[in-house]
Amino acid sequence: MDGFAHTSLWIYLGNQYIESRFRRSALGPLWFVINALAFSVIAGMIWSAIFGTDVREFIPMIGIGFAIWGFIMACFIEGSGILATSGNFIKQMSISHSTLILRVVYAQIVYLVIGCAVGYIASVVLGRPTSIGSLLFLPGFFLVALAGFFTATVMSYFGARYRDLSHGLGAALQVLFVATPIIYPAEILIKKGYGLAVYLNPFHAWIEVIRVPLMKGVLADPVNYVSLVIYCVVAGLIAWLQIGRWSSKVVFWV
Amino acid sequence: MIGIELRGATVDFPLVGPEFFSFKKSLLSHHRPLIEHVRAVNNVSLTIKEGERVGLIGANGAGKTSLLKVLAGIYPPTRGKVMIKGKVSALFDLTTGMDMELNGVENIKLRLMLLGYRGGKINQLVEEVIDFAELGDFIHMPVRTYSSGMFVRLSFGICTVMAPEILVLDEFLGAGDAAFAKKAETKVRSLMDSGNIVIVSSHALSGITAECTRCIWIDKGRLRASGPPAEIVQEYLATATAAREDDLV
Repeated sequence: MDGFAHTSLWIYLGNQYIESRFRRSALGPLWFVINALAFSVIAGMIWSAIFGTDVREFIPMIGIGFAIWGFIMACFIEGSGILATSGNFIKQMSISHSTLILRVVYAQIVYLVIGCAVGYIASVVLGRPTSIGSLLFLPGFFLVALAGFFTATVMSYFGARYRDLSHGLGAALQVLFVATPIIYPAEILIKKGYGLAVYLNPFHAWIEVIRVPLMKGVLADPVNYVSLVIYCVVAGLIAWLQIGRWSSKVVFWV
Repeated sequence: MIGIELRGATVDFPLVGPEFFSFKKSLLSHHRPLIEHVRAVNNVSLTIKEGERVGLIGANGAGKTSLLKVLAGIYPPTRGKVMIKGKVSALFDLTTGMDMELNGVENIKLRLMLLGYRGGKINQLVEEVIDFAELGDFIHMPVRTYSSGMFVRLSFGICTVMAPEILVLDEFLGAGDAAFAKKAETKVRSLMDSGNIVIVSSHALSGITAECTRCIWIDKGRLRASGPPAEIVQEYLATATAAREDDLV
């Protein structure tokens, strides 16, 4: 894990990664903001009409929820490509895998921050009161970032070993997107007796620990923090086993 | 004290096909697929000391590049020990380590960052590489637009600008023109003169005889001979010619 020793390196690489994404567009990263805003406004209006709830609550809820979901998806899907597509670097110099992983996770964290900020600002513009309690998103945010890093690490090794993984992942994540309360409130499922589907879904916690404090100014249900810590421990353990078995072989695979 | 020491270094290169990388197939098949290996580096022990210029020779597929990658710390040995003391800079095929979408300057920065440089030192080195590569306005174009000659200039410039303690070059001069070859030679010589280790693989045997202090002959992954370049090259040539005569008969 010596990538952590070179913080300025992966931050630089991450910034470059973000820049290269928007290289061919005049608006640059602003596109990302516009995209997030348009999605949350339109989806928020439609879904609030369907559920008959307050649109001022729904727009930020969907904006923030979708930003976190984007982060989860990227950790899995982009994560699975990190080592598989870095043969260019891995075969040219002795570079630590963690540097390559941190570069991608860092860029995704930047997107996550922008997405959440858009949602939060939308909620302020729509007249929701701001509160110092919103800062309670910080511990959740930290846990989500950590879980994202472990996820991307695990996926990067799996992705280098199994190249067909990203196809299957896309399908699995689509199902999870529907099953996770992102564009609808979790209470709907719980009231109808599907509470187990919510509580057993680890990604529900990722959404809650950031979204609840940002929108309500209080900490999320403690069970969500516990769930995330367990997730981190398990994913960290898998990553540790993978590094022991596979890290010296990756250079021959990519 | 810079130097490299290999003790019984062996690299088994897995020969794996598409089914190895398929998760679906691994799930469905009951027996684990037998992975065949090619022994690219076979039990090589050698020590390279400060100031040595080592020329690596051998037939195509003998394991020169694999051994160079071990010496550069890129391939971890399957067995044996590798100790590398010193900052390594390696040049293998020309486009590796470059991001095709980035322009020349950005690629220089990227590589320097990856090699551990920070801040103001980078800007200074970037200027040096730009001067050395002489790519004119192309330095601000994405490198995917470069010719192979331009790649050589840029890659070589990057690899040598930071005065690496250990420079590893794999067949590097093929695409450069005469003027650049001259320039590159001067650069390599100045690195050699300052006591650094230079390791090159080449089929240009006369170059090895003239420039290197030691020649290593690799044959089927094994270290076949190591010693004064003139002797080893002669021996190598004699074997190669004999083999060719056998083929003709």
